[in-house]
Amino acid sequence: MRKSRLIASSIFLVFSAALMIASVSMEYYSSIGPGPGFFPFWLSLILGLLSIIWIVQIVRSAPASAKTEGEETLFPRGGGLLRILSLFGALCFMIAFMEPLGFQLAMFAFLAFLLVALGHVKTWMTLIIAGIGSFGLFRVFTLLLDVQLPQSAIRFLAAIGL
Amino acid sequence: MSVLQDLLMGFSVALSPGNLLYAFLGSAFGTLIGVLPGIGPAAGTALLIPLTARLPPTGAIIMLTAIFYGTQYGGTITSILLNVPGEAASAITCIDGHKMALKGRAGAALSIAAIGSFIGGLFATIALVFLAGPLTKVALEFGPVEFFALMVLGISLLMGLAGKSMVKALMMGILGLILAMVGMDPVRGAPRFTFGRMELMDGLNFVPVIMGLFGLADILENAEESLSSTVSAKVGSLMPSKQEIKDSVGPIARGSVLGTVLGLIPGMTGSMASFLSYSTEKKASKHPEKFGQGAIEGVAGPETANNAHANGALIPLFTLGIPASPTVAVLMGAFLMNGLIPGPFLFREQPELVWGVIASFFVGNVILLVLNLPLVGVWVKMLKIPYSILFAVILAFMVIGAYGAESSIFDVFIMLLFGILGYALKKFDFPLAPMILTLILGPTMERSLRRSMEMSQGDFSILFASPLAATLLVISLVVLVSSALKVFPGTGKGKSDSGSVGK
Repeated sequence: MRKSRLIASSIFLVFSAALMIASVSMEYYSSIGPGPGFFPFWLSLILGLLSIIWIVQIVRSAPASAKTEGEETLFPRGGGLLRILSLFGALCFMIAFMEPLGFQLAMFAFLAFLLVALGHVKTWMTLIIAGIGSFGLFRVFTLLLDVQLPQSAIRFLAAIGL
Repeated sequence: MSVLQDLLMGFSVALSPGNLLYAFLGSAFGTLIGVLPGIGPAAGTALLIPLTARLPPTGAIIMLTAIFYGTQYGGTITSILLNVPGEAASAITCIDGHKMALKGRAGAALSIAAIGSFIGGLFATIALVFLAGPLTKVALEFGPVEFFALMVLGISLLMGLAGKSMVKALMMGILGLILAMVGMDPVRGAPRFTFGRMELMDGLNFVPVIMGLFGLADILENAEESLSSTVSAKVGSLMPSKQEIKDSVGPIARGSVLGTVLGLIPGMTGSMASFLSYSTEKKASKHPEKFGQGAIEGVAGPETANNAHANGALIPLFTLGIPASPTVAVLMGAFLMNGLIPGPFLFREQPELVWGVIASFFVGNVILLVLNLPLVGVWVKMLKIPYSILFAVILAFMVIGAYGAESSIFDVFIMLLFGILGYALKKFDFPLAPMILTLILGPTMERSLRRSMEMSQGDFSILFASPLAATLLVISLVVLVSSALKVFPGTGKGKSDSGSVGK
């Protein structure tokens, strides 16, 4: 856990350093006052200082015994990790395919995967929920609420209303 | 015009058929969000913003505010029936509310909670009606220097009250301000941190950011355990006994005042209001030993306080343009999306809208009372939807919500990115509320400071030239220093961070 915290605080420190470098390239001050780089410079400096304070706090805190350290895990492993990665993968699929395939097909596949793989929902129920959540919601949002959702970029799919 | 005339004008707006429908829909959606575990009020309100995208501004704000205070009603139902809070502000209700349910008094607990929420909501709205005039009058005297100082104070209070670690709260506040820098510089118009992406020129869209941080992060956290679960619950008679009504009068009265006052203070959350109310009632009770065994006072006080807080938190938003909590920050974002800048000028420029929305709070609370008493059975049926189905449906709405705001797949990516960030930050015990508040307030804060600097030709002493601004800045400093002293190691008063705290 201590190691994870040290890694996290270091990421904050590196992020603030990168931000400070980027802000230096912007105008810091002009005759009429602060420029676009003023705020980012000071904010990155403060974030960097706070990251250092956090690192000092972690270093000064009592180290856990080797046994406790081994037992405590911040992030899940095994089934929990697999479920999180599956969710992440499903959302990446939506981002990659929602516009090429169209909302309806992509959402149907997205929901069907989540319900079967993660929810262990029966097939007939999955088909009903995925159908309502994709084809049904598309019509509700586009026709009733005037929210634009993408149609497929593939011509023959778009031609049949998908 | 007098306050009452303004309010009457507001009622003529709020009671129009269209606005009544929006208040009803908002109240129903809000209750639903409150009832369903796995989605909190901030993410829930952000999720439903696309539904209001094509509505007239008054209707959109009426619906979104009703969603906001509706969540406070709904959260009670799961706390009492299932011992699972639908949202954080109802967590304390689990203690006595669920004990009452186990004794077959769930209906009475739900009734008292709904009546207390109604009275608390009305009390805070009446406070808003009478405080609106004096507060906006003061705020109209504010220049950019005073507004900057006020925002610094709001953020300082939030960070000071944010939780276990002041350092982490400050880091989150600063991170929010940095994220607010993305897009065009508000004075010169120069692009900052846009990485050449056109989608970032107008800054980060707050809807996918909030849905990621508060909604997706929660789902990722829940996914650590198996996602299959079902629930069953019974309500019983809704009628409280005479003794239960008598025992609830004091807690409801105290909860109304406490919740409203705490709602005015940025950083004081609904959970804090309900926790403080619970401890107040326990201290005030002649039979404190009853608490934890199904005492009606332990339901009446906290439930009144959290609803009074929800409505009270709208007072600084409406009068000063300062959001006091993450969900109110989402509402502020919704105001901005509709081209409205909440604050004193809105009262002057759009009185019909402002008073229409305020009057709708009275209407909304009545609707919520009806939805939560005679129709409580409907919400209990909703609870029977297993989480294994619910999480997928919530994710589908999140994708639509993120995409629908700007019709941009990039925003779905932003939601995913901030979902992962929020999940990781929660693992390290970072409070997310300061980040959301500074993200929304950041551009206004920077604009105020830079305008002040332009006025003084770059002289920073202008910040202390105004007695009001100087006082506010000194108070901010005192809040930050006193909070820091409580948490920094070596003072002997509080906990340090890292190893000793957290998971």
